[in-house]
Amino acid sequence: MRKHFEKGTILFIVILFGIAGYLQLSIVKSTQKLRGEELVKTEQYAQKIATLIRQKTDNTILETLEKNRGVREDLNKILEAFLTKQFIYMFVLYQDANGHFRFLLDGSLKKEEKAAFKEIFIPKSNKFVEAYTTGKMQIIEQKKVGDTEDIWMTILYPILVDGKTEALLSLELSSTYANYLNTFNSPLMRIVHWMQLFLLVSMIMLIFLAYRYYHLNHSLTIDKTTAYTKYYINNFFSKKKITEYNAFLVDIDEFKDINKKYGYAFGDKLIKMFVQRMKNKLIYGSKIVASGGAEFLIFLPKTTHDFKTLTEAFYKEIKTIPYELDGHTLYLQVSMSALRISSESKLYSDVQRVLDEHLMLVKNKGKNHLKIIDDSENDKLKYGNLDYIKEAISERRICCLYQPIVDITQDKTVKYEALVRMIDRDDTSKIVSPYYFLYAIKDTSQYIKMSKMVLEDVFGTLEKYPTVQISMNLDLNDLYNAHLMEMIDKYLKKCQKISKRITFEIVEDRDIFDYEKVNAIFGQLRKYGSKVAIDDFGSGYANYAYLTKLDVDILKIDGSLIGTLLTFPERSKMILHSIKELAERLKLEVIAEFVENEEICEILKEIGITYAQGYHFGRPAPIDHYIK
Amino acid sequence: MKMKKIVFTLLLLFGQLYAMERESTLKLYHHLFRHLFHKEVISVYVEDREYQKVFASSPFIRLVPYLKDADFVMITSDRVLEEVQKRKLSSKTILFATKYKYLEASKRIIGAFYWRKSRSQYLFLQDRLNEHNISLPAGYSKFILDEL
Repeated sequence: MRKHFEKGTILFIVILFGIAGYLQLSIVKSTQKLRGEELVKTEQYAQKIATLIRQKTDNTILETLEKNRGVREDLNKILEAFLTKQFIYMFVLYQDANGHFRFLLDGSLKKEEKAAFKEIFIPKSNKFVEAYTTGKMQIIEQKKVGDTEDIWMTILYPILVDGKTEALLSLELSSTYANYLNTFNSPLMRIVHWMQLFLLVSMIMLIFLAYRYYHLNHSLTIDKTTAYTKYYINNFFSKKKITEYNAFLVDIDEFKDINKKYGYAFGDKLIKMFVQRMKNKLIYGSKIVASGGAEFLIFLPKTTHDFKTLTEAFYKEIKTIPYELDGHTLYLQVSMSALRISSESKLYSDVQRVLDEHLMLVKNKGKNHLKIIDDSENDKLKYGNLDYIKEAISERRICCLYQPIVDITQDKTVKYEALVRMIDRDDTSKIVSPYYFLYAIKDTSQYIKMSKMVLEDVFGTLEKYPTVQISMNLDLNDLYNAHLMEMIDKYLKKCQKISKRITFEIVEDRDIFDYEKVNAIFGQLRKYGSKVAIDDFGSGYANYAYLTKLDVDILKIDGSLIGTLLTFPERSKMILHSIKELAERLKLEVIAEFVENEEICEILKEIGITYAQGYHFGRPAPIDHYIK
Repeated sequence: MKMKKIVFTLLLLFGQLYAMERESTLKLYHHLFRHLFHKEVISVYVEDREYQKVFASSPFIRLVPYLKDADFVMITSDRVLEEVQKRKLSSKTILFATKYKYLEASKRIIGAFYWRKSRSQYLFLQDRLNEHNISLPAGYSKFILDEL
């Protein structure tokens, strides 16, 4: 749309220029024609006057005029008579023995303008001499600015007697007359002038708009730190592929302290200096984007140079070399994360998210450090892309894998945990963990769609295998999601027999404040015989306090407590013992997660834990893998 | 604000053109004075208001109210010519005219600067320059006449 407008505007202006040019040319031609006609007329006048002078003086011009004042006055009057608005001056000169021009006759009407007889005249043009010596008429086109601005043209007509110049008749056409002649072209000229004015105004406006656009664009694209703005980079990556770049996220640690200590003006100058140093060190085509405070997102074009070497050299340059400013020497502490962007990345905001996460890790581990992000993180970029997930859901590339939960006392699988997975678009053998994609769709409609697919899968499996029990995960937030809960309720109600074989494992990523409501939801889940388990018990938010307030059936001991059985066996056993005893008293089942080997399994048996889950018993796999 | 700037610029432009004309006239006289006198500041008697305005801006010209105090007298009117002829001015005082006819009227006037047919005319008479022992540089030769 904008392009069409621009093209249209340019075409319109070009057409106007064309028309104005054509009209201007027509006027020039017409003016030349009028000028030619005037010259012919003037020459005819000059001939007549010259003949008259010759006749009146009997071909002895100088002699007669010197001697006979009466003839002089008569001829002056004749010249006066010829002075109309066409001619401004009309006079006759002769050249004395010294080569000076002197007046013989002057047709001026005003006394003060009238030159005296034989008064000296110093012409500005050499054409006077030329006309006199050659005996040929000369035309002087007078300048429009300067002494002779009121004269349009001077026609110098030599008065010859026996082939020799005796006097020089000067007829001077006035500028006023030229303007008068131009009025014949005036309608056309008026149009041209209006067009020229319009074009001029348009051009001025365009220049003004261009100037304003430049300033506005500059303020929108360049930050006060001299780095680019997010607006710029958004536009930039709407045209360029992010995959052609690698990225850094750089942050000056404790910059607030610098501002506090040296003042904001100093801080601003320092940050500009910092940006400048980054610019100097980065390869051509790099983009530094101010992403807030003293944090900068940098995109640098991919090169054949080793990314790690390049990144480390850059980090060293900006960090280890001191900054000299206003008599102060400062060593900056800088945290930085760097990512080699994979060919599958699409959004710059995703890149920023990954860099952000890793910069946060750097900061949490004491700041002032460089983290080059592992290439596998690119999977997060790829699979964390909302469009990619959306496509996977619509193509039903979402599935459940099942991991067995085993009664270790009888070495018998009693249940399977359904674990959601995504299948890679290009490589269907590649199964993607929810770690990469679940976070991206939380609180979106896609999450509900995915949950529905999981429920369909779980209920389908339960229907297909009537003896199988399955546990599935529910986030605490899911319980508050009315839409999702309604959907679960519908499934449970519809398949009440199946419902008895389902366990809902509740995962918490935050504290529970309204236990009553949660208990009510648990009640809703258990209405048709399903069980409720607390996942990751013994770590994070899933603690003992829950047991006092929540009505659950199963405790799933957090994997971290199982993992320490081999490294800190005594204490770990004690803790597991206490959980087991507590569960027994509360009449709860206990499941140990992350059981990776026989040794752990034996310890669990010793403690008296009945159920276990982990790679030792089987990895997540399609249900057919376990039930033949 | 921008409109004011434009108006101000146009005024400045016209003012500049006017100033340029005055500047060129002043330059012409400065040049002449440099060759006529060996003084830093020249006392000039001139009655014409326009000339007074032009000369007033020069640091090398001091306008004087009396003929007797002037190094350089500009004959701009018949009255000034009469005054000059009546009074006995110092032989060192240089008279200069702004009309051709004054050159004819008084042989004491060394030259004139005036306009004829829209062309500036700048004249000096050799014998009159000689009387004042004035020799002008070669650049003036085309303006120096042997006789009127």
